[in-house]
Amino acid sequence: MNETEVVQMAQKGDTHAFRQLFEDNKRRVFTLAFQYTKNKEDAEDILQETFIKAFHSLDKFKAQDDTNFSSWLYRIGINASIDHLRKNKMKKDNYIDSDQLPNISSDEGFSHPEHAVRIKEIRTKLDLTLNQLPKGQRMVFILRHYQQLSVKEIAGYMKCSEGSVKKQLFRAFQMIKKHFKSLFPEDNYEML
Amino acid sequence: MKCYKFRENIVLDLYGELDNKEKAELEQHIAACQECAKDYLYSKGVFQALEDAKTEDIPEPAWDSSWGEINLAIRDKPKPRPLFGISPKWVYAAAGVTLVFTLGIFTGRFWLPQKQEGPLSAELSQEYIQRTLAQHFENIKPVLVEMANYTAQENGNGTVLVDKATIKNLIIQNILLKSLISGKNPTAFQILEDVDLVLRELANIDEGDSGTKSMIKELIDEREILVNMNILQQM
Repeated sequence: MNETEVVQMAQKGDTHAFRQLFEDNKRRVFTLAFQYTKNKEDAEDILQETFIKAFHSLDKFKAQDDTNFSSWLYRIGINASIDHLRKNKMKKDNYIDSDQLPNISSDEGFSHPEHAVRIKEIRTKLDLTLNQLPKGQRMVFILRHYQQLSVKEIAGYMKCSEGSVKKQLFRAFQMIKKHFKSLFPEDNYEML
Repeated sequence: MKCYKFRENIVLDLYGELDNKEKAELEQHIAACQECAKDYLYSKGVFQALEDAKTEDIPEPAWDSSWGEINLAIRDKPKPRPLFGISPKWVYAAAGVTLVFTLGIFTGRFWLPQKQEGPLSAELSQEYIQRTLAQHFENIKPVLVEMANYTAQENGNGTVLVDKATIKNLIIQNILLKSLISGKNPTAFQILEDVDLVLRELANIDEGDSGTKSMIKELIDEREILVNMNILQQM
Protein backbone atom coordinates (compact mmCIF):
# COMPACT_ATOMS: atom_id res chain seq x y z
CA MET A 1 0.00 0.00 0.00
CA ASN A 2 1.47 3.36 -0.93
CA GLU A 3 1.48 6.52 1.19
CA THR A 4 -1.48 8.10 -0.63
CA GLU A 5 -3.65 5.07 0.06
CA VAL A 6 -2.61 4.98 3.71
CA VAL A 7 -3.40 8.70 4.03
CA GLN A 8 -6.82 8.19 2.45
CA MET A 9 -7.60 5.46 4.97
CA ALA A 10 -6.42 7.65 7.84
CA GLN A 11 -8.60 10.46 6.54
CA LYS A 12 -11.58 8.13 6.93
CA GLY A 13 -10.68 7.73 10.60
CA ASP A 14 -8.64 4.52 10.44
CA THR A 15 -6.23 4.83 13.39
CA HIS A 16 -4.22 1.81 12.23
CA ALA A 17 -3.47 3.67 9.02
CA PHE A 18 -2.53 6.74 11.03
CA ARG A 19 -0.24 4.58 13.15
CA GLN A 20 1.44 3.48 9.92
CA LEU A 21 2.01 7.14 9.00
CA PHE A 22 3.47 7.68 12.47
CA GLU A 23 5.85 4.76 12.03
CA ASP A 24 6.97 5.98 8.61
CA ASN A 25 7.64 9.57 9.66
CA LYS A 26 8.37 9.58 13.39
CA ARG A 27 12.16 9.54 13.15
CA ARG A 28 12.44 12.46 10.75
CA VAL A 29 10.14 14.64 12.87
CA PHE A 30 11.84 13.64 16.13
CA THR A 31 15.32 14.27 14.72
CA LEU A 32 14.37 17.75 13.57
CA ALA A 33 12.70 18.51 16.93
CA PHE A 34 15.74 17.26 18.85
CA GLN A 35 18.19 19.20 16.71
CA TYR A 36 16.08 22.29 17.25
CA THR A 37 15.49 21.96 21.00
CA LYS A 38 18.51 19.86 22.05
CA ASN A 39 16.26 18.26 24.62
CA LYS A 40 14.81 14.76 24.40
CA GLU A 41 11.64 15.45 26.41
CA ASP A 42 10.87 18.59 24.41
CA ALA A 43 11.46 16.70 21.18
CA GLU A 44 9.06 13.97 22.33
CA ASP A 45 6.44 16.61 23.15
CA ILE A 46 6.91 18.17 19.70
CA LEU A 47 6.64 14.75 18.05
CA GLN A 48 3.31 14.17 19.78
CA GLU A 49 2.02 17.69 19.08
CA THR A 50 2.93 17.30 15.42
CA PHE A 51 1.02 14.07 14.93
CA ILE A 52 -1.98 15.23 16.95
CA LYS A 53 -2.17 18.45 14.90
CA ALA A 54 -1.74 16.45 11.72
CA PHE A 55 -4.58 14.13 12.70
CA HIS A 56 -6.93 17.03 13.37
CA SER A 57 -6.03 18.64 10.04
CA LEU A 58 -5.99 15.47 7.95
CA ASP A 59 -9.11 16.38 6.01
CA LYS A 60 -7.43 19.61 4.87
CA PHE A 61 -4.53 17.67 3.39
CA LYS A 62 -4.70 17.04 -0.32
CA ALA A 63 -1.80 15.30 -2.04
CA GLN A 64 -0.44 17.35 -4.91
CA ASP A 65 2.48 17.01 -7.27
CA ASP A 66 4.73 19.11 -5.06
CA THR A 67 3.33 18.17 -1.65
CA ASN A 68 3.20 14.68 -0.28
CA PHE A 69 2.11 13.72 3.21
CA SER A 70 5.68 13.59 4.56
CA SER A 71 6.42 17.15 3.40
CA TRP A 72 3.12 18.39 4.78
CA LEU A 73 3.81 16.69 8.11
CA TYR A 74 7.35 18.03 8.18
CA ARG A 75 5.99 21.57 7.82
CA ILE A 76 3.71 20.95 10.80
CA GLY A 77 6.77 19.66 12.69
CA ILE A 78 8.74 22.81 11.88
CA ASN A 79 5.93 25.04 13.13
CA ALA A 80 5.36 22.87 16.20
CA SER A 81 9.07 23.12 17.07
CA ILE A 82 9.08 26.92 16.74
CA ASP A 83 5.83 27.23 18.70
CA HIS A 84 7.04 24.88 21.40
CA LEU A 85 10.16 26.91 21.98
CA ARG A 86 8.14 30.13 21.94
CA LYS A 87 5.76 28.76 24.58
CA ASN A 88 8.64 27.56 26.70
CA LYS A 89 10.81 30.63 26.18
CA MET A 90 10.90 31.64 29.82
CA LYS A 91 11.79 28.14 30.89
CA LYS A 92 14.40 27.58 28.23
CA ASP A 93 16.21 30.90 27.97
CA ASN A 94 19.88 30.59 28.79
CA TYR A 95 19.40 26.96 29.60
CA ILE A 96 21.10 24.00 28.05
CA ASP A 97 20.79 20.60 29.59
CA SER A 98 24.40 19.46 29.46
CA ASP A 99 23.42 15.84 30.10
CA GLN A 100 21.44 15.85 26.90
CA LEU A 101 24.01 17.41 24.67
CA PRO A 102 25.08 15.05 21.94
CA ASN A 103 27.83 12.72 22.98
CA ILE A 104 30.92 11.81 21.09
CA SER A 105 30.51 8.32 19.84
CA SER A 106 32.85 5.86 21.54
CA ASP A 107 34.86 5.22 18.36
CA GLU A 108 35.71 8.88 17.91
CA GLY A 109 36.81 9.25 21.54
CA PHE A 110 38.79 6.02 21.60
CA SER A 111 40.91 6.63 18.53
CA HIS A 112 41.61 10.37 18.93
CA PRO A 113 40.84 11.59 22.46
CA GLU A 114 42.08 15.17 21.80
CA HIS A 115 40.05 15.41 18.65
CA ALA A 116 37.01 14.12 20.54
CA VAL A 117 37.40 16.79 23.20
CA ARG A 118 37.68 19.44 20.51
CA ILE A 119 34.56 18.17 18.76
CA LYS A 120 32.66 18.22 22.03
CA GLU A 121 33.83 21.79 22.63
CA ILE A 122 32.57 22.84 19.20
CA ARG A 123 29.20 21.15 19.67
CA THR A 124 28.69 22.70 23.11
CA LYS A 125 29.62 26.14 21.78
CA LEU A 126 27.32 25.71 18.80
CA ASP A 127 24.41 24.60 20.98
CA LEU A 128 24.87 27.57 23.28
CA THR A 129 25.00 29.91 20.28
CA LEU A 130 21.93 28.38 18.65
CA ASN A 131 20.10 28.81 21.95
CA GLN A 132 20.61 32.56 21.66
CA LEU A 133 19.47 32.91 18.07
CA PRO A 134 16.00 34.17 17.17
CA LYS A 135 13.73 31.18 16.50
CA GLY A 136 13.47 31.78 12.76
CA GLN A 137 17.24 32.01 12.28
CA ARG A 138 17.75 28.97 14.44
CA MET A 139 15.28 26.92 12.40
CA VAL A 140 16.78 28.06 9.09
CA PHE A 141 20.25 27.06 10.30
CA ILE A 142 19.06 23.64 11.53
CA LEU A 143 17.22 22.96 8.28
CA ARG A 144 20.20 23.98 6.11
CA HIS A 145 23.08 22.70 8.18
CA TYR A 146 21.73 19.49 9.74
CA GLN A 147 18.76 18.57 7.60
CA GLN A 148 20.61 19.71 4.46
CA LEU A 149 17.58 21.26 2.80
CA SER A 150 18.22 23.82 0.09
CA VAL A 151 17.34 27.48 0.57
CA LYS A 152 14.46 26.97 -1.87
CA GLU A 153 13.09 24.01 0.09
CA ILE A 154 13.38 25.90 3.38
CA ALA A 155 11.52 28.86 1.88
CA GLY A 156 8.77 26.47 0.83
CA TYR A 157 8.49 24.87 4.25
CA MET A 158 8.64 28.14 6.17
CA LYS A 159 6.42 30.01 3.72
CA CYS A 160 8.79 32.91 3.24
CA SER A 161 10.95 34.21 0.40
CA GLU A 162 14.29 32.67 -0.58
CA GLY A 163 15.85 36.09 0.09
CA SER A 164 14.57 35.99 3.63
CA VAL A 165 15.99 32.49 4.18
CA LYS A 166 19.38 33.60 2.82
CA LYS A 167 19.41 36.60 5.14
CA GLN A 168 18.53 34.47 8.15
CA LEU A 169 21.17 31.86 7.30
CA PHE A 170 23.76 34.62 6.95
CA ARG A 171 22.81 36.23 10.26
CA ALA A 172 22.86 32.87 12.04
CA PHE A 173 26.31 32.10 10.64
CA GLN A 174 27.60 35.55 11.59
CA MET A 175 26.48 34.96 15.16
CA ILE A 176 28.17 31.55 15.21
CA LYS A 177 31.41 33.08 13.91
CA LYS A 178 31.24 35.73 16.60
CA HIS A 179 30.82 33.13 19.34
CA PHE A 180 33.51 30.89 17.87
CA LYS A 181 36.23 33.53 18.12
CA SER A 182 37.32 32.09 21.46
CA LEU A 183 37.73 28.65 19.87
CA PHE A 184 39.18 29.86 16.58
CA PRO A 185 41.11 33.12 16.94
CA GLU A 186 40.74 35.13 13.72
CA ASP A 187 44.50 35.76 13.58
CA ASN A 188 45.04 32.11 12.71
CA TYR A 189 43.22 32.74 9.47
CA GLU A 190 45.21 35.70 8.20
CA MET A 191 46.09 35.63 4.52
CA LEU A 192 49.49 34.18 3.87
CA MET B 1 28.12 45.56 -5.01
CA LYS B 2 29.18 46.42 -1.46
CA CYS B 3 31.29 44.21 0.81
CA TYR B 4 28.22 43.52 2.97
CA LYS B 5 26.55 41.67 0.11
CA PHE B 6 29.71 39.68 -0.56
CA ARG B 7 29.90 38.73 3.11
CA GLU B 8 26.44 37.24 2.74
CA ASN B 9 27.53 35.46 -0.43
CA ILE B 10 30.54 33.98 1.36
CA VAL B 11 28.16 32.10 3.66
CA LEU B 12 25.90 31.11 0.78
CA ASP B 13 28.94 29.86 -1.14
CA LEU B 14 29.96 27.63 1.76
CA TYR B 15 26.49 26.10 1.65
CA GLY B 16 26.64 25.71 -2.14
CA GLU B 17 23.85 28.22 -2.76
CA LEU B 18 25.55 30.48 -5.33
CA ASP B 19 25.16 30.12 -9.06
CA ASN B 20 28.23 30.24 -11.33
CA LYS B 21 27.94 33.96 -12.01
CA GLU B 22 27.62 34.87 -8.33
CA LYS B 23 30.50 32.55 -7.47
CA ALA B 24 32.73 34.16 -10.11
CA GLU B 25 31.85 37.65 -8.84
CA LEU B 26 32.65 36.59 -5.30
CA GLU B 27 36.02 35.12 -6.30
CA GLN B 28 36.85 38.28 -8.21
CA HIS B 29 35.96 40.43 -5.21
CA ILE B 30 37.91 38.28 -2.77
CA ALA B 31 40.98 38.56 -4.99
CA ALA B 32 40.73 42.35 -4.76
CA CYS B 33 39.47 42.90 -1.18
CA GLN B 34 41.74 41.88 1.67
CA GLU B 35 39.05 42.21 4.38
CA CYS B 36 36.63 39.94 2.51
CA ALA B 37 39.43 37.49 1.76
CA LYS B 38 40.19 37.30 5.47
CA ASP B 39 36.51 36.83 6.28
CA TYR B 40 36.27 34.12 3.62
CA LEU B 41 39.15 32.14 5.13
CA TYR B 42 37.80 32.49 8.65
CA SER B 43 34.25 31.56 7.60
CA LYS B 44 35.60 28.54 5.75
CA GLY B 45 37.50 27.45 8.88
CA VAL B 46 34.41 27.76 11.09
CA PHE B 47 32.27 26.01 8.48
CA GLN B 48 34.74 23.11 8.32
CA ALA B 49 34.74 22.81 12.12
CA LEU B 50 30.94 22.71 12.12
CA GLU B 51 31.00 20.05 9.42
CA ASP B 52 33.48 17.95 11.41
CA ALA B 53 31.27 18.15 14.47
CA LYS B 54 28.05 17.59 12.59
CA THR B 55 27.36 13.92 13.14
CA GLU B 56 25.68 13.71 16.46
CA ASP B 57 23.90 10.99 18.36
CA ILE B 58 20.17 11.43 18.29
CA PRO B 59 18.65 9.84 21.39
CA GLU B 60 16.10 7.10 20.99
CA PRO B 61 12.75 8.19 22.38
CA ALA B 62 10.14 5.85 23.79
CA TRP B 63 8.23 5.46 20.52
CA ASP B 64 5.46 3.29 21.96
CA SER B 65 4.85 5.70 24.78
CA SER B 66 4.73 8.60 22.31
CA TRP B 67 2.25 6.75 20.13
CA GLY B 68 0.22 5.94 23.26
CA GLU B 69 -0.09 9.67 24.05
CA ILE B 70 -1.02 10.47 20.47
CA ASN B 71 -3.54 7.66 20.29
CA LEU B 72 -5.14 8.82 23.53
CA ALA B 73 -5.43 12.38 22.26
CA ILE B 74 -6.91 11.49 18.90
CA ARG B 75 -9.38 9.03 20.38
CA ASP B 76 -10.56 11.26 23.23
CA LYS B 77 -11.03 14.44 21.26
CA PRO B 78 -13.01 14.30 18.06
CA LYS B 79 -11.74 16.44 15.20
CA PRO B 80 -12.99 20.05 15.44
CA ARG B 81 -15.26 20.67 12.47
CA PRO B 82 -14.70 24.00 10.78
CA LEU B 83 -17.81 26.14 10.44
CA PHE B 84 -18.68 26.36 6.72
CA GLY B 85 -15.04 25.64 5.95
CA ILE B 86 -13.79 28.59 8.03
CA SER B 87 -11.19 27.99 10.72
CA PRO B 88 -12.65 28.39 14.26
CA LYS B 89 -10.12 31.09 15.19
CA TRP B 90 -11.34 33.25 12.30
CA VAL B 91 -14.92 32.69 13.41
CA TYR B 92 -14.01 33.93 16.91
CA ALA B 93 -12.13 36.90 15.45
CA ALA B 94 -15.05 37.80 13.19
CA ALA B 95 -17.47 37.43 16.10
CA GLY B 96 -15.30 39.77 18.20
CA VAL B 97 -15.14 42.40 15.48
CA THR B 98 -18.89 42.16 14.86
CA LEU B 99 -19.50 42.64 18.59
CA VAL B 100 -17.27 45.73 18.65
CA PHE B 101 -19.05 47.21 15.62
CA THR B 102 -22.50 46.44 17.04
CA LEU B 103 -21.58 48.04 20.37
CA GLY B 104 -20.21 51.02 18.46
CA ILE B 105 -23.44 51.40 16.51
CA PHE B 106 -25.61 51.17 19.62
CA THR B 107 -23.35 53.53 21.55
CA GLY B 108 -23.58 55.98 18.70
CA ARG B 109 -27.34 55.61 18.43
CA PHE B 110 -28.37 55.87 22.06
CA TRP B 111 -25.63 57.76 23.92
CA LEU B 112 -24.10 60.26 21.55
CA PRO B 113 -25.94 63.32 20.26
CA GLN B 114 -27.34 62.38 16.88
CA LYS B 115 -29.15 63.90 13.99
CA GLN B 116 -32.67 62.72 13.32
CA GLU B 117 -31.35 59.92 11.13
CA GLY B 118 -29.15 57.50 13.09
CA PRO B 119 -26.45 55.26 11.69
CA LEU B 120 -28.91 52.42 11.50
CA SER B 121 -30.86 54.18 8.81
CA ALA B 122 -30.88 52.61 5.38
CA GLU B 123 -27.42 54.03 4.72
CA LEU B 124 -24.81 54.71 7.42
CA SER B 125 -24.17 58.43 7.85
CA GLN B 126 -20.97 59.91 6.50
CA GLU B 127 -20.16 61.25 9.96
CA TYR B 128 -20.45 57.81 11.50
CA ILE B 129 -18.18 56.29 8.87
CA GLN B 130 -15.60 59.03 9.43
CA ARG B 131 -15.66 58.40 13.17
CA THR B 132 -15.23 54.65 12.72
CA LEU B 133 -12.46 55.22 10.20
CA ALA B 134 -10.64 57.59 12.58
CA GLN B 135 -10.91 55.03 15.37
CA HIS B 136 -9.59 52.30 13.05
CA PHE B 137 -6.59 54.46 12.10
CA GLU B 138 -5.88 55.08 15.78
CA ASN B 139 -5.89 51.30 16.37
CA ILE B 140 -3.52 50.67 13.49
CA LYS B 141 -1.10 53.55 13.96
CA PRO B 142 0.95 52.04 16.84
CA VAL B 143 1.62 48.95 14.72
CA LEU B 144 2.60 51.03 11.68
CA VAL B 145 4.77 53.40 13.72
CA GLU B 146 6.60 50.48 15.26
CA MET B 147 7.23 48.93 11.86
CA ALA B 148 8.18 52.29 10.31
CA ASN B 149 10.82 52.73 13.02
CA TYR B 150 12.18 49.23 12.55
CA THR B 151 15.92 49.12 12.02
CA ALA B 152 17.60 45.86 11.10
CA GLN B 153 20.49 45.36 13.45
CA GLU B 154 23.62 43.56 12.49
CA ASN B 155 23.12 40.58 14.72
CA GLY B 156 19.53 40.88 15.78
CA ASN B 157 16.07 41.44 14.52
CA GLY B 158 15.10 44.76 15.99
CA THR B 159 12.44 44.95 18.63
CA VAL B 160 9.24 44.64 16.66
CA LEU B 161 6.75 42.45 18.47
CA VAL B 162 3.67 41.37 16.58
CA ASP B 163 0.61 39.85 18.20
CA LYS B 164 -0.87 37.74 15.41
CA ALA B 165 -4.39 37.63 16.94
CA THR B 166 -4.51 41.45 17.07
CA ILE B 167 -3.28 41.69 13.50
CA LYS B 168 -5.96 39.30 12.29
CA ASN B 169 -8.65 41.35 14.06
CA LEU B 170 -7.29 44.49 12.42
CA ILE B 171 -7.39 42.79 9.02
CA ILE B 172 -11.07 41.97 9.49
CA GLN B 173 -11.85 45.53 10.66
CA ASN B 174 -9.97 46.82 7.64
CA ILE B 175 -11.95 44.63 5.24
CA LEU B 176 -15.27 45.72 6.78
CA LEU B 177 -14.30 49.38 6.55
CA LYS B 178 -13.18 48.98 2.95
CA SER B 179 -16.59 47.62 2.06
CA LEU B 180 -18.26 50.52 3.93
CA ILE B 181 -16.38 53.28 2.15
CA SER B 182 -16.00 51.66 -1.24
CA GLY B 183 -17.03 54.17 -3.90
CA LYS B 184 -17.59 56.93 -1.32
CA ASN B 185 -14.09 57.96 -0.28
CA PRO B 186 -11.37 56.94 -2.77
CA THR B 187 -8.53 58.47 -0.70
CA ALA B 188 -9.46 56.58 2.44
CA PHE B 189 -10.06 53.45 0.39
CA GLN B 190 -6.52 53.62 -1.03
CA ILE B 191 -5.06 54.01 2.46
CA LEU B 192 -7.02 50.97 3.63
CA GLU B 193 -5.74 49.03 0.61
CA ASP B 194 -2.14 49.89 1.57
CA VAL B 195 -2.82 49.05 5.22
CA ASP B 196 -4.26 45.74 4.08
CA LEU B 197 -0.97 44.85 2.36
CA VAL B 198 1.03 45.68 5.48
CA LEU B 199 -1.29 43.76 7.81
CA ARG B 200 -1.27 40.66 5.63
CA GLU B 201 2.54 40.64 5.57
CA LEU B 202 2.56 41.07 9.35
CA ALA B 203 0.11 38.22 9.85
CA ASN B 204 2.50 35.83 8.11
CA ILE B 205 5.80 37.16 9.42
CA ASP B 206 8.16 35.05 11.50
CA GLU B 207 9.85 36.47 14.54
CA GLY B 208 13.32 36.29 13.05
CA ASP B 209 12.32 37.36 9.57
CA SER B 210 14.15 40.67 9.40
CA GLY B 211 13.97 40.74 5.57
CA THR B 212 10.17 40.96 5.56
CA LYS B 213 10.24 43.50 8.40
CA SER B 214 12.50 45.74 6.31
CA MET B 215 10.21 45.26 3.33
CA ILE B 216 7.17 46.29 5.41
CA LYS B 217 9.05 49.37 6.63
CA GLU B 218 9.80 50.30 2.99
CA LEU B 219 6.17 49.74 2.04
CA ILE B 220 4.97 52.11 4.80
CA ASP B 221 7.54 54.73 3.73
CA GLU B 222 7.03 54.44 -0.02
CA ARG B 223 3.25 54.66 0.13
CA GLU B 224 3.41 57.30 2.87
CA ILE B 225 0.68 55.48 4.74
CA LEU B 226 1.15 57.29 8.06
CA VAL B 227 1.38 60.70 6.38
CA ASN B 228 -1.76 60.04 4.34
CA MET B 229 -3.60 58.88 7.44
CA ASN B 230 -2.73 62.09 9.28
CA ILE B 231 -3.74 64.27 6.32
CA LEU B 232 -7.07 62.49 6.02
CA GLN B 233 -7.75 62.81 9.74
CA GLN B 234 -7.10 66.57 9.63
CA MET B 235 -9.45 67.14 6.70
